[in-house]
Amino acid sequence: MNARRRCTIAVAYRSRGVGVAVLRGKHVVEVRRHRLAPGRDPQAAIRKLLRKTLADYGTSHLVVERDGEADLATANMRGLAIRSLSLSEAKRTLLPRRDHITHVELAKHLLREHPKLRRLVTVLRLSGEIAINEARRLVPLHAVALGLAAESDQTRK
Amino acid sequence: MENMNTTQEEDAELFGRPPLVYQIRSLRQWHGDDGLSQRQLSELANINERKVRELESCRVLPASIREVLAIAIALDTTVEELVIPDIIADLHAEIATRRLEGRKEEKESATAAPPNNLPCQEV
Repeated sequence: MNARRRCTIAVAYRSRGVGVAVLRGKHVVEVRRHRLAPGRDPQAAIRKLLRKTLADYGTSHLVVERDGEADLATANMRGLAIRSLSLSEAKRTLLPRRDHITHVELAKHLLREHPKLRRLVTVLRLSGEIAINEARRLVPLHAVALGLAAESDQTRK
Repeated sequence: MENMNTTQEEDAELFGRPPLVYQIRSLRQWHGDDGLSQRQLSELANINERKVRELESCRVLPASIREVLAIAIALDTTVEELVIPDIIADLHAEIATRRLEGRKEEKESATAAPPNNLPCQEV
């Protein structure tokens, strides 16, 4: 792996939960998860979190969910290379032979490909299924999916 | 509503800051089965938790570490190999003992709650 390869930051937002994934190529470097305090403006909070993460990793490459809060939040941020991608596009990129991919199918695929991501979700002990009752729990995986899809696209090009 | 000028000033400041020098946060997150919290890492390494936080957010590599790294690279070796094996072995043994003790304590105080070391801060 080229140590000098730049990092990409991907961000997803759902139900006052923010997931931020840091990727170097297809390697997931770090995943951060935040919960917005009641009454906090999501866009301002996302901007603040992104500024910190972008600075931490010295990168300006960002992937956001199209038309989502992060897309709107970063609209006025200068000097960034922003790629906006819908979660459906990300699903199609990561699972190209499948139609109508659910969030759970996406999550299962990600956990299969990157077992270390299991620690981000609750896996039910008896059934081995991923607990999906809290949308917030899957947000970090959405961020990872957006980042991986953006990186896969670039690899293909 | 956020002030536009502030945003631009902050954006400018963003690119003026050097990135983090250590990958401790990332390594800590993916360590073992469930990752390690700052407290667990500080206990294992036997250093202050505040020091772990400081190191994680460090943006300038201390000169002493840079020098040791430069010597290791110049000698085509790793920093670990620069140090006499006894010191490394002692450290490994110390940390292994603390890890074992930590696991015993964990077993004793095992609760129904699943482990989750991914921090979820309220912002």
